[in-house]
Formats: sequence, structure tokens, C-alpha cells
Amino acid sequence: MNNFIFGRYTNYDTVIHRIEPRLKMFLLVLLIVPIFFNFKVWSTNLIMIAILVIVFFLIVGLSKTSIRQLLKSLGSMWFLVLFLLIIYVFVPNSSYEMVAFYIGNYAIYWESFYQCGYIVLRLFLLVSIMMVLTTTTKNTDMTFAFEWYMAPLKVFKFPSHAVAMTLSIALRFVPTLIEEANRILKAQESRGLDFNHGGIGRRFTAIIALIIPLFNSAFSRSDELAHAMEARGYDPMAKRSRYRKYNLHMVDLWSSILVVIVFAGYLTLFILDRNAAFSSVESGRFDLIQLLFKVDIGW
Amino acid sequence: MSVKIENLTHVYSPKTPSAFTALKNINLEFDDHVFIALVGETGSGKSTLIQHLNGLLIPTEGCVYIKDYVIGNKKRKNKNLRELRHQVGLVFQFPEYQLFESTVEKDVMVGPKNFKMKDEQAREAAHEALDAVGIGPEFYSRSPFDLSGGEKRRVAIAGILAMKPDILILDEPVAGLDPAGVTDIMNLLVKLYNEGTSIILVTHDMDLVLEYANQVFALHNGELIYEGTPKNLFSSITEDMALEIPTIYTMINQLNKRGYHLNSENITNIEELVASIVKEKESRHE
Repeated sequence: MNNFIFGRYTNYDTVIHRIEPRLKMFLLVLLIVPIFFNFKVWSTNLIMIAILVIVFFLIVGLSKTSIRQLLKSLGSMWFLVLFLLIIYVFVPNSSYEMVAFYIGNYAIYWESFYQCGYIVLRLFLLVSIMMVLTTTTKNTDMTFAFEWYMAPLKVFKFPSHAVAMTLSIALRFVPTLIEEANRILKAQESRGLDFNHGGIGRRFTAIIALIIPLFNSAFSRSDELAHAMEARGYDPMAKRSRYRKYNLHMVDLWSSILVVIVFAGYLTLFILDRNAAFSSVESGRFDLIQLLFKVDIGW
Repeated sequence: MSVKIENLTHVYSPKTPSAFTALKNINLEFDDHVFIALVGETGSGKSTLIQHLNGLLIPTEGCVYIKDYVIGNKKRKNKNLRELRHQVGLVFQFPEYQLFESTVEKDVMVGPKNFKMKDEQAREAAHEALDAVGIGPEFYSRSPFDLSGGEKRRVAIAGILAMKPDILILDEPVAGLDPAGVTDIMNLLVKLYNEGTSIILVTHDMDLVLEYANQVFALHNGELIYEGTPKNLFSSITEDMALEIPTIYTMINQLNKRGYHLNSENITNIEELVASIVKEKESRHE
């Protein structure tokens, strides 16, 4: 139940924590982009994603983000995984070739499992990056970064401050609502509702008993917050000053260099992969193993 | 239904940087049919302790014995927790957030129905409970969300009462209620106590403790620092227990400073205080 994508800010002083928030957001986006690069040769694809996994693990380790929480977030994706698996297994693509086994006359392909696992892995990487961002960046810093990035939209009268404020409030209340959910959960369990056992019908009532009070309290909370902000004279259109100053340090320079190297490497290889068919690569496809070790392992 | 707690220790989020020991080696025991007050400042572990009594929290170390039920740490299998929750009713602080059904009647029926009562029985139990908390039939078909704060609180308490627990635990049931509401709720608890239910009241209000409880447990920083009668507690109270002294004792202390010789041992309520003041005045005149 605890903290799905958004980790709670942890008060450590790691390298990742110290990176300037706007820059950190940008660098993490740079790292997210390679997740979506898909290489045509599957062995190359595996190597590239493995390198990415290592890089991400280093970042997670450096930022002292709890691995347990990360795995928990993976645990809460099980339904999605199941859904994907069913879709991939029973709706095979025509390019699939390697039959795993037959159910009656229906062929199940190895590629289905591979594709599904690949998607889940990518989702996991995405979640871990989001987790790193939220556990190492204070809410105020995050808001500042959002607002800064939306500043150009002000030309079109886009209320970037209001949107940033909304986002930061939403982020701020995620842990509060989780706490609230736990409280309600316990109160309902005291009334004999069982969230972990029983048939679908029983569980459905149990979930309703959780969701309705949660919504109710979320609405009344936001109502109260709005009143409290107004009572303190909050004006979304006002020009605001800022307490904190953001300066760049050496850590920002080094982290940028490293991330840009990783990103540039992936981008180069990806472009090579896309252009392989038109280029001088003999086989007409980009195979990293072939390129590096001069061996062709087939496929 | 006696309760025994042995060497209970509870640690929140163990093995993480935010690990927090909320209860340290608690040992306590009490019998059937008691009116217990559980006191202590905010963060002293009261709420953690009561959640062990119906199996919502599992001890990190130690054991909780309630009648035939044993709640131990994870190595043992804690079966039948649901049945335990039937017998130990727990009313959380601000219970109004647990309401979710479309009508007051249905909401109160949720508890009994979960414990296998038939619809008709559950309805009867609900009516009884609602009647006990002073919610009349005119409310039965209204939405619980349209009620006032005090009414919501009562409906929520009725939701637990309808399960007819043997032990009723209430976490700050009178927080934020007006004086009349406080009296209503306390009278209800006395009535339930007289009918044979054990009551465990978690509270900050020492006046209530003195007036109603016949046994007190005081917690401080997760440790049990006092058990006994309220009177003894208040005569032995010290600064570091972080407890308030009941209004009436403060008054006795002030009077004694100004030349009275009142004995706080014999006084628990205003009537007795007035009587002893009058007695002392008369003895002076003689």
C-alpha cells in the first residue's frame, strides 16, 4: 500500500540530493529517454538495457533510495504485469517465431514472455527514476523547477505558477493521504471488514469502505486548505519573491557530464541502429556483439 | 475476559532509518469488567498499545493474551484475528472518518453483518446501538455525511457498539465535543460498563479519569510508568510523568495553601469537595 511511485523525501545529504533541482529534473529526463530506445537486434537490446539497469542502480544506490520500497512498488504492479502477460501471450505478433509450447493447437511464443518482461523492466526503471527524483528533492525545490520549466508558457498566458502550486500540493498530500488510508483501513478492519481474504464481493465492499471515506476526507482537506490559503491572503496571480537562491556547484557540472555521456552514447547507437539499413553495415542491421567482437552469433 | 500483556515491544518500520520504538517492554494485566483509563502525553504509545488489543498491530516482541487468543510476533500464526475484533471493539480517534454507507442505519449494520449476523438481527443490533448513543429513528434513513460532527461521532461509535464487543476501547472519544456531548458519551460508557462491558478509555482529560475510571495505566515515552487507582496516581504524580492534575485537585491544593486542611484522598467530585469545605467551615465555627 505504501508509496507507489512517489517516495517520501529523505533527509540525506547525498550527491544526488545536492544537485540543483532544475538540473536534476532535466538530467533524469535525459536518462528516461534511453529507456524507450528499442534496438532491432535483441541481443543488442539486452546489452543496452542491462547497461541502463546498472546506471540506474548506481543512481539509486548513490541517492540512498530504499531498494525495499522500489521492490514494493514493483509488487504493486503485479496486476498490470498479469494483464500484459495475458495480452502478449494470447495475441501473438506475426513476427514471433520461437514456439515455447502448445496449448491445444494454440502456439505460445517465447517472444511473448520476452516482450512482456521487457516492458515491465522498462516500467520499473521509470518508476525508480521517479522515486529517486521524489526522495531526493524537496517539495519546494520541485515546485520551483516545475515553475521554471513552465515559464516560457507565460507568453500564452498560461498560469504556470498556479499549475506548479497545484502539482506541489498534490505531491505534498500523497503521504498524508496514504497515512489517512491506513487509518481508515484500520478503522474498517476493526469493524470486521477484511481486505485480504474473502471473495470478490466481500473485497469489493471492503474497498468501497476505504475509498468513500478517503475521497470524503480528501475533499474536505482541500476545502480547508483553500480557505486557509485565502485567509492568509494567497493570490495565485501575484508576483512572488523567493527565499532560496539556487546556484550551480561542481557536483552539478560532474553529474551533467556523466549523464550527457550516457545519453549521447545511447543516442548515437540508436541512430546507428535506425540507419543501419541504409548504411554500410553489411547485414543491414546493427548488432553490437558483431560490431565489438567481430562474431556473428546468428539470429 | 481477562487480558494479559507480556514484554510487549513495538517498533515502527524496523530496520529502516526511520525505525521508531513506540512501546518498550510493557507488562500489564487486567480482569473482566473494568473501567480502565489509559493516559499519557501525545506520542507516549497509547494508540499503539490499544491497536495490539484487537490484533491490528502485531507485537515486534512479546505476547498479548486475550481470553483464548494469543497475539505473538510473526513467527506464530495469528489466526482468528477477525473473531477477536468481534469481541474487542476499537473506536478510533475521530471515528467519523470511517463512515461510508448511504444511510446511517446501513452504516451501523456493517459491523454486525461482517460478523455473520443475519440482516434482521443486524438491523436490530443497529437500532439498539443507535438508540444507546441517542440517535433517534428519524436519522436512520439519512446519509451519514449530512450529519453534524457530534452526530457523526455517535453514529460511528454505534457502528462499533452494534457488534456487541466484550471489551470496548475508545481512543479520545470526547475530543472536540461540546460539554453536553462529553457528558452524553461518558454516561453511555457508564451504562455499558454497568451492563457488563469492559471499557478502556484513552484520554488526556484527567477530570474524566478521576471521575469514571476504576483503574489507570499511565504511559510515558513508550513505557508503563503507573498502574493502579486514579486517586493514587494523582497523589503520586510527578513532573516527569508529563500528566496534568485534575481541576478538582488543583483547587484542593490552592485551598490548602490558603489555610484549609482538605484531604484529597476522600474527594473525587464537586459534591464531595463542597461537602468537605462546608464541614471544615463548620468545624472552624465551633
